[in-house]
Amino acid sequence: MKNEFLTVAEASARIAAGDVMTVAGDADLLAQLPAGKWIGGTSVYFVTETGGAIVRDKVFCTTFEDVVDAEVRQQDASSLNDIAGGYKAGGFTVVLIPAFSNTHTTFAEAAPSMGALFAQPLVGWISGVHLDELGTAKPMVFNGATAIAVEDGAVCLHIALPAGAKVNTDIVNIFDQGHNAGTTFTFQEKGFAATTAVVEGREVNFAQYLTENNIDTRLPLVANYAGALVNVAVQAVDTDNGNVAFYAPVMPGVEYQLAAPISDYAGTFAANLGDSGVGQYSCNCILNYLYGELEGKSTGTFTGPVTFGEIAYILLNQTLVKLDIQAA
Amino acid sequence: MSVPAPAQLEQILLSSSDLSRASLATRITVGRLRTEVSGDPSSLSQKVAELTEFAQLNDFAAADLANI
Repeated sequence: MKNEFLTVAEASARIAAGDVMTVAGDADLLAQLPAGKWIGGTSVYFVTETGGAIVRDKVFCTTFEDVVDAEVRQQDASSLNDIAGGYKAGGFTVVLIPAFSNTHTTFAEAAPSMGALFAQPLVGWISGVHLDELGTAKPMVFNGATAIAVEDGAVCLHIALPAGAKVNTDIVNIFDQGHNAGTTFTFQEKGFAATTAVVEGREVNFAQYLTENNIDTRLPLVANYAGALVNVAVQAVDTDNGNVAFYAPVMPGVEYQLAAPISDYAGTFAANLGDSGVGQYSCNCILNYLYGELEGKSTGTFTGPVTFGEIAYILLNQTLVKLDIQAA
Repeated sequence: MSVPAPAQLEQILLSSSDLSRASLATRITVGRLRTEVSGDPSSLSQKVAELTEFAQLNDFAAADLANI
């Protein structure tokens, strides 16, 4: 697997030569790429070898080498369970979905219960835009088989590996539940927003609670899924209407705790990631980029797009997703 | 790979232990099922059946669960 920034001409030549790729970049650049075995998503923020950066003149390409087969498929919000229908034996799948789309919402809420998706590694991300262009530019993904942009849908790159090759995916969450173990938050309904939460057995208006307790909403709510720490990040607190919006859905019955504060984002990432990032697929969250002020700061050897949500079977927030392939 | 017995899967769903050595797919699946059992204890047998099917369909999950 090879990660690199390429010009449009260089990426086009690779695609024309039959390379199997995921591509991240500015929409204008992605729109110039020819049809082939690739999928793409809009992002202008990246983690590079020298630190976080905004890149708009090149595209970030991950080339999957030595693959036996690769197929691009596209699903919509009503057919997300069929992502697994494209799984290839012993392989893995990369999925890209545009932020704020119906498919984004549906995937976030439904994927945890779609058992078929968990049969082999499924990684990917939610495409975004430059933050100055929120509301004017649309996040998009690209179906490389047709080289057509998609504003609402999931594009999937299904890859088959040679016999004996191994693929593994995991997440790196620099947050833990250590802020205050005695204070847990549960929600009664699934959704990207909540008005009430149960805190220490008492139902409260969640917006009021966050405000009155001066809670730093840059810290995510963290749930423990049998050892996998899964974040839900707070998007906005509207005390006038008593509403809190999230970047991923809260799930009913799941116990969340506020994450412990982190003083050194970049250093904590680097310490958690080690130096094994070269040759791995990864993506990291725009909130980590912003809150950790990662622009220009190195977080180690993992490079990739900075995204509006990360996917490792389910939608994640403020998390790095990684995928590694070991040759046979 | 043989699938652990229902009684063993029941214990896994009723406990809160971290399955740190298990694959991410197994951790997320078990975490979800634990929450569902916690919210509706009468669903335990149904969730054990769901976990059994997950392990039957996926050798990695059967190995994860057998090694807990």
